[in-house]
Amino acid sequence: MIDAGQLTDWIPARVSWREAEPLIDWCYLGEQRISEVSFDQTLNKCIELPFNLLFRHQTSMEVLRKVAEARPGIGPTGFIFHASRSGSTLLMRTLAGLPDNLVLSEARPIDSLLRAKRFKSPVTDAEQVEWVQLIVSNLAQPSRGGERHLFIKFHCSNIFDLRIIRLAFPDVPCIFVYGDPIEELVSQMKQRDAHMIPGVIDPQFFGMDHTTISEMAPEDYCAKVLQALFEAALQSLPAGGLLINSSQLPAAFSTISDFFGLSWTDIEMEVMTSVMARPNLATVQRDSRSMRKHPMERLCEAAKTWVYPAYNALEQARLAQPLRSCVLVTS
Amino acid sequence: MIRSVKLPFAFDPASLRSDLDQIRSDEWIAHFNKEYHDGGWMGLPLRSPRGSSRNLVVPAHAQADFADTELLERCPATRAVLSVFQSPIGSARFLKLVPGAKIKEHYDYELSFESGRARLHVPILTNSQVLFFLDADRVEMQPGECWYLNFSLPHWIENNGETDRIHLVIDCEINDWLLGLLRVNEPDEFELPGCPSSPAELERFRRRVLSDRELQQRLRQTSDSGSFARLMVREARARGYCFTLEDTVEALASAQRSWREGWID
Repeated sequence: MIDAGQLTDWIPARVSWREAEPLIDWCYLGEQRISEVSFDQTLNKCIELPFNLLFRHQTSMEVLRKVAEARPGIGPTGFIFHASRSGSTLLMRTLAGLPDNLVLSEARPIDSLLRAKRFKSPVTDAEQVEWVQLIVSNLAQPSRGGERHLFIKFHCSNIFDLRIIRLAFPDVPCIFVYGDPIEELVSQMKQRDAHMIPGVIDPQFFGMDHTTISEMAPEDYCAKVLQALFEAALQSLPAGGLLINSSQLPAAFSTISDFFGLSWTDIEMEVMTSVMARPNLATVQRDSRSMRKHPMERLCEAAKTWVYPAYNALEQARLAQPLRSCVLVTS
Repeated sequence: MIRSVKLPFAFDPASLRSDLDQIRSDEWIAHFNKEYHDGGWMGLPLRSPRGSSRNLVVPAHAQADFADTELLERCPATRAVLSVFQSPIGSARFLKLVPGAKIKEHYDYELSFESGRARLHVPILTNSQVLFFLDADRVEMQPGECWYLNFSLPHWIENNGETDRIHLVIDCEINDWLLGLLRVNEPDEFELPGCPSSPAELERFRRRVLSDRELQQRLRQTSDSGSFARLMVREARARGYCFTLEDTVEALASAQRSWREGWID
């Protein structure tokens, strides 16, 4: 069996399945830093090297266990869940502004193992919990920069997998970042994320079935997906989680830091807020001009019918959060 | 096709170095190919169009009226080197790569003997930490030597040492004298002894590579897929594995397809 030494500087890139057993494809990362924007972006950069197209180790979970024993990696500091167009990318970029922080965004292998139960039924909680712990440990390898904190932004549909994530990492604080439903829907109408395209994720997750989605207007489909994400967050997060409305950003960054148990020096804070203040990043998520381009009536109707009840409930829960979320730094 | 040839000259590096002493540090001009380097690549024209001392650019057309620059007059040893060449000289330059500088992998369009252009290098100052890779192969050049290099192949350079790397770079017109030196009648370096197509043999080599970290490092020396395919075949042949360049190209294409398809899971 391949040993941990042979996998130094390699990262688990993908999961494939041999029946119900996950196999891990490894990719050579070398001295590259994992991109805070998206894990896929890192892999796409990797395969610019022809070597990485032809040479990938494929191992069992047993090898991940060996690597995790040899190099446990950085323990997670905080988990970020989100509705997709809610400023979470900005948050990850801000965290990645410090060389101390290793930031994983929507790492596909984590998502694949979390979704295992949805598609590969004979998986026990215990098995899945171990897989998730192992894949995180294997991905959390500090680069030569020597990172000390690990932040993981999950795929937005992983809010449905919070139970397993909590079992795997009971003590890691979780936040859910969400934003105004209309802004999110307008943004999705412009260019949709995979989970907003009917059929990419089993519609049953979002409380729909294959027959109804074929007749559904895109605005309604997206609105119902958003509703399902909000409801899942509402059900599972308030117990020990922190809700953040994107309108609170960037000021709420210090609230989030406190919640993750971190205190930054003035210089560190300055570095990170300078990332946050970069105008092109701040406006990417909230482009109000694009609102005018989409016929709004249908979209507002869909938002009102499906999303707002859940959104309002989230807002109530957020405002009822203990003081920590109200102590906002005015910038 | 020729990758590189060491020509039968041995110039005196010490006298060329004393030419460099005639140059003030502020006279060097940043190299114009800014997208390929990080600022540490610079040069000085010794022969340039109309003898301009500030023009590092080398026009591809031979008609450009190259003339000696004022700088060349200050460099007697360099003039002596140029006089050895019995083929018309176009551009001549000193090119410098400072410590820590990197030039990213790239290739220079039609800058090869096969395309009718010959660029020669005479190292003056260098150090053992200079990495020069041409078509994924390291070429080590010593001061005073003279090399023809096929720059239409992907190449990259890093000066990881603590001293400057300075070469005299000469562009020559090709004539019979130069053809004789380039030994064009010798076997084509890119033509390898015949091997039948064998994807199975390629797969055997692939497994071998996955257990050999040193060989992996070797195969990561290029981001150019053409250079990579040739390197694969060379390294495989050297270890007794027999498959073709086309097998490698096909394996790369198929890996690319399956990688893209893998996005949908």
